[in-house]
Amino acid sequence: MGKYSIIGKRQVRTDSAAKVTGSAKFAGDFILPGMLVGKILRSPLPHARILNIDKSKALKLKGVRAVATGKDITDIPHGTMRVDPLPAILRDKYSLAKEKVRFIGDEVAAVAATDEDIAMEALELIKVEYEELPALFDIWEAMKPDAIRIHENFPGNISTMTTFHLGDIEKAFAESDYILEDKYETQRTHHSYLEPHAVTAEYYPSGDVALWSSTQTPFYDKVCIAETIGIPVNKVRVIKPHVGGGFGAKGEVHTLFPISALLSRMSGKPVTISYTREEDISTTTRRHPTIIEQKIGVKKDGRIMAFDSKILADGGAYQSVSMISIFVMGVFQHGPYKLPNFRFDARRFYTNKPYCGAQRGHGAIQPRFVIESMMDIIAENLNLDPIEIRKINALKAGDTTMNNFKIRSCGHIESLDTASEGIGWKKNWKKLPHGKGVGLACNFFASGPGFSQFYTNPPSHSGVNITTEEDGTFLLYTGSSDIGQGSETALAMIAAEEIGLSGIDQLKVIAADTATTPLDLGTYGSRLIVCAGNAAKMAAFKIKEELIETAAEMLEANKEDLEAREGGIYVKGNPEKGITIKQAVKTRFQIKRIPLTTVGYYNPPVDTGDVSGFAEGKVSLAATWSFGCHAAEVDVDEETGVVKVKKVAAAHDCGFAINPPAVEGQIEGCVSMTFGQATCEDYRTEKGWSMTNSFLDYKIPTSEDMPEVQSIIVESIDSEGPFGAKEASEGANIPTIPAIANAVYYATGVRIKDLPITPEKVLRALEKKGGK
Amino acid sequence: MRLPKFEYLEAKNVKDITSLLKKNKEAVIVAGGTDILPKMKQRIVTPKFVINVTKIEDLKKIEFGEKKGLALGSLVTLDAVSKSKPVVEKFTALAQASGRVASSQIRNMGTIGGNISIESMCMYYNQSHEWRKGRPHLCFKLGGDRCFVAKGSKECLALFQADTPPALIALGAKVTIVDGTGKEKVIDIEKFYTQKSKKVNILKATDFVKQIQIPTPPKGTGSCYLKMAQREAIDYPVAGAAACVTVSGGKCKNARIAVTAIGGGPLRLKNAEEILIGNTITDELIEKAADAAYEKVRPMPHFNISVWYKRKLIRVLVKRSIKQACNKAV
Ligand SMILES: Cc1cc2nc3c(=O)[nH]c(=O)nc-3n(C[C@H](O)[C@H](O)[C@H](O)COP(=O)(O)OP(=O)(O)OC[C@H]3O[C@@H](n4cnc5c(N)ncnc54)[C@H](O)[C@@H]3O)c2cc1C
Ligand code: SF4
Repeated sequence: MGKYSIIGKRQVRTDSAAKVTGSAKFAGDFILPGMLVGKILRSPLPHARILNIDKSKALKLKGVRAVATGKDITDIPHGTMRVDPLPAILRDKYSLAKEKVRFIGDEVAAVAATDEDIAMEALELIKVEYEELPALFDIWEAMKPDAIRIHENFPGNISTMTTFHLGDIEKAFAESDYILEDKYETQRTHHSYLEPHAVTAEYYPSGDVALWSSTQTPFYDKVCIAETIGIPVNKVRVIKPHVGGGFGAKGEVHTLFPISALLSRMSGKPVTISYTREEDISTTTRRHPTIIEQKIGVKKDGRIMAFDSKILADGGAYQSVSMISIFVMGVFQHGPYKLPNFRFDARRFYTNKPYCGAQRGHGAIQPRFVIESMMDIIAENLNLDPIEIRKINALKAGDTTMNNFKIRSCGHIESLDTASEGIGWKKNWKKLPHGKGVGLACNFFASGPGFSQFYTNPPSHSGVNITTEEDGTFLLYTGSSDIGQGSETALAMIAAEEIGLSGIDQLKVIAADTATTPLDLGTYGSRLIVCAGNAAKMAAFKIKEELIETAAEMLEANKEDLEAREGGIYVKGNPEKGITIKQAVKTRFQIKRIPLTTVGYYNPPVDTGDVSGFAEGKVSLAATWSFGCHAAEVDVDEETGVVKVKKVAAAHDCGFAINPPAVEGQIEGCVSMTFGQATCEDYRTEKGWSMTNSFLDYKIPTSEDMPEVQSIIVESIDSEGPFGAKEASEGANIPTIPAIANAVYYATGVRIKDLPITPEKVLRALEKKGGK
Repeated sequence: MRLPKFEYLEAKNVKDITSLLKKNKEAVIVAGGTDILPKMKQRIVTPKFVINVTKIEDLKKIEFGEKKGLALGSLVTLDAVSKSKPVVEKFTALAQASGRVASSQIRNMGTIGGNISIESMCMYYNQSHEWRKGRPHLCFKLGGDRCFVAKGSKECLALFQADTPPALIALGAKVTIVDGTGKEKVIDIEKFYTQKSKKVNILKATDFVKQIQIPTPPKGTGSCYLKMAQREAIDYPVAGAAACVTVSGGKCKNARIAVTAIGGGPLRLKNAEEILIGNTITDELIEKAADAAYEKVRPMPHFNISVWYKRKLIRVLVKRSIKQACNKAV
């Protein structure tokens, strides 16, 4: 028998049966008596002042029960950048536009009607008078000194700016043996989750409202909904049903939540809103496109001396979480390589386009593409091996980066070794026939943010309560949101292991209902396994202690001599002498007659929440950090430029795999997401018009395009994570793109520096190289 | 997105189709529905009547005889076409083209008759009603005064992107059309197309396609269809090329080459064919034919793919399809 009886074993997920039988309910599946359908009227103009909205005709249409406009909401804008001392102006969007619209698709009015067709018809009857304003469609227009301001409070249309300088880069470059300056571009990509945004809301005569919403952050939504429709926070209940993926897009409080609540209040009926795929792609968030100029200085042996990094990002019409997006594009450059000197200057501009926010691998994807491409160029120019240069610079467990990141565990080297072995590096690198190549790249990602961008004083970052039934089964209450990643199963496994149960069927997870489960900040920043996982472990430990105490009395043994495992409590070393956990529960109830509920919680180490060094980029930021390496094999058709990704050997250091198939699934999902972003995905607008609005036009890869993925789990056993676990859902999204770009280079001799790496770009580069 | 309201009609036999089409103005035929239903959801077409023809078993037959050749009922699914033994063996290009349409789900529903009858497409047109409605200017296809793809063009230049037509052209297929009086006429598939984006085929409102026939190719014939799309499935071709070559004693006796996704219809490339016919097949000769194809085509750009790239691509696809056709010809 291994060390553990539940964790680390291949566990069927708790939601599998519901999902494979189709019985799982998503936010748009709720049918309530008298329910109405909500639809949103959107701006057809990229930038305009609203002069008047006449809703009288729409209200007269038979079947229309409510029409809402910006006048029906409070003056408190919604947005998740809310924590003190962030300025209030960072919350720059109203659920329904008040004075101005800023992109094509901006929400102007909303209708609730007895039927979808009637709601659509009603939208056409709402007459909006606009005064059209000049629109800015790219960052170059936005930064012109005489450009119109998209938001009054933001001169120069700079929505977000981060600059800092650590160490002395001038000196470092002077001392470098080799300096490389290069420029890269990344594109806008959409998250492409299976389930578009959806919500069902029911407002009660008592003044309470309940929402079933497709969300990553029910506790954030709750506050924003209350503020937007002007009711106390305790009157809003947000329940997260099954969610079909979010990848960062649903960590934002989207308009449909407060609007559905508002329409329900106005009509007195439940209201459901489901975005069409077109609405979803064209009006929710997307990944920031960037232009990155990077200068890297190294010593002859490849040791990094300094980074000088300049980033321009096109943010679109609103802030979203860009304070974080832009900040982390800088600070995430502090790993997985030791960085002794660093200057960072990033600006994000407002433009009259759909806005950008968080997406899986948030803020790390763009600079990582740049750095990992440049590491290979540098290695080649210095005659070093791409693996060696990545090893010589490696951070290791126990290190603290110059900006205060605490590296508690580090599987960087092992990831490099296993991924490269998986792709047959020794026999394949630079040895395959022309047109074929292998390349690799590493990653580095946060696991559990140290502070909340939303709550200034959250009671804790993650709370978990565990209680028990008379039959010896358990209930675990968590506010955390499983949006498809399998976190509920992982929490059940952690708690069951800690309590000493024989299987997770004896423990039921009740999750993400703001009225009944303890607060959890939500699913973002790859925080659940560390934060909710630790909270679950603590609550489980406490309830086990209670039961062991009872067992000690029953067995007339010392508490310290007892252990709980596989459903029983035994005297250590004497498996004959013991009782079942069920017996212990029963006796505990009989003797004590007080409820048995334990409270677990987690707050990241105090230093990670210290934001006093924010301006200098010195923030410990995350509870712990994940590492990894992907190695890709590609086949390039040099006549057509078509790149086929054959295989990705993907090693990810998740600390410890609580549920190994879930980790493998995340790794595969990451590869499928980012090999598409590497080769074909490109969200496009034209003069502010969203063009790629369906999955026919926005090219996410299909199962037939998917490369073989070899998922390699690296376990560095972290000191902060529960049982050593770290994140596994975002870090693995980061290195696929540069690994493919590097492989394309070794296959063809051409390096594509703007994403995606399309056949046309490859062919042009090949012809240029061939002198055609 | 929901379907607009319409009245549902059902044809029990071929005669029914004609009478229903004649009786009801603004009716459309729904075969597999994989093309027309999404367009209805987008309100690109809003027919008053929808005629379901899929109950007509007669039109779902694949018949083959050495002498008679191949006869495909218009309702045969693309999946059935791509897996039919005679089609795979003797009309390889058609099997390949049918097998590369969209995805297996769509091929299970979509029909060969529907495939040859789809219209041209464009990113500025094939969008939802809400999207089109808000645009400040209308393009030709919506009754407006401009084209967004080809600025300065005097007409719509939307792309015809169906996969099977170039294969059918290369194989010398004929189409049987039943007109509003119930009369049948058989025409060359090439003549089925107008080369005009506005309305790519000659079908009148009361016409429908009953059957597609292909003569059995002479001995020594091989054919091939190659498609390049931005992904392996659920994607129209960036370009597709079909070649059918008859070889005897190393010499090309006959060749037919056609391409798709370059303009308002599938295009036959006679100038490339002429280079092959009568000559000994060599790599150099095939390169020359491919060069001729490159010279001939003036493709429309895709939304995100340039004319420059498409011409290069056509050259490669034509070359490779000829080569593979020749390899099969022995
Ligand atoms: C996501 C997606 C991807 C696609 N990818 C491809 C692709 O890669 N390649 C490709 O070629 N096509 C593609 N298509 C288009 C379409 O699925 C196929 O062309 C299919 O073969 C159409 O056949 P159907 O029977 O479904 O046609 P339907 O939708 O039933 O009909 C299409 C049109 O033809 C008319 N019609 C149908 N049958 C007849 C008949 N017998 N006589 C006269 N008129 C008729 C209909 O009235 C309608 O106007 C795609 C469609 C979708 C939705
Ligand atoms: S090709 Fe031009 S005219 Fe035709 S649909 Fe497209 S934009 Fe409109």
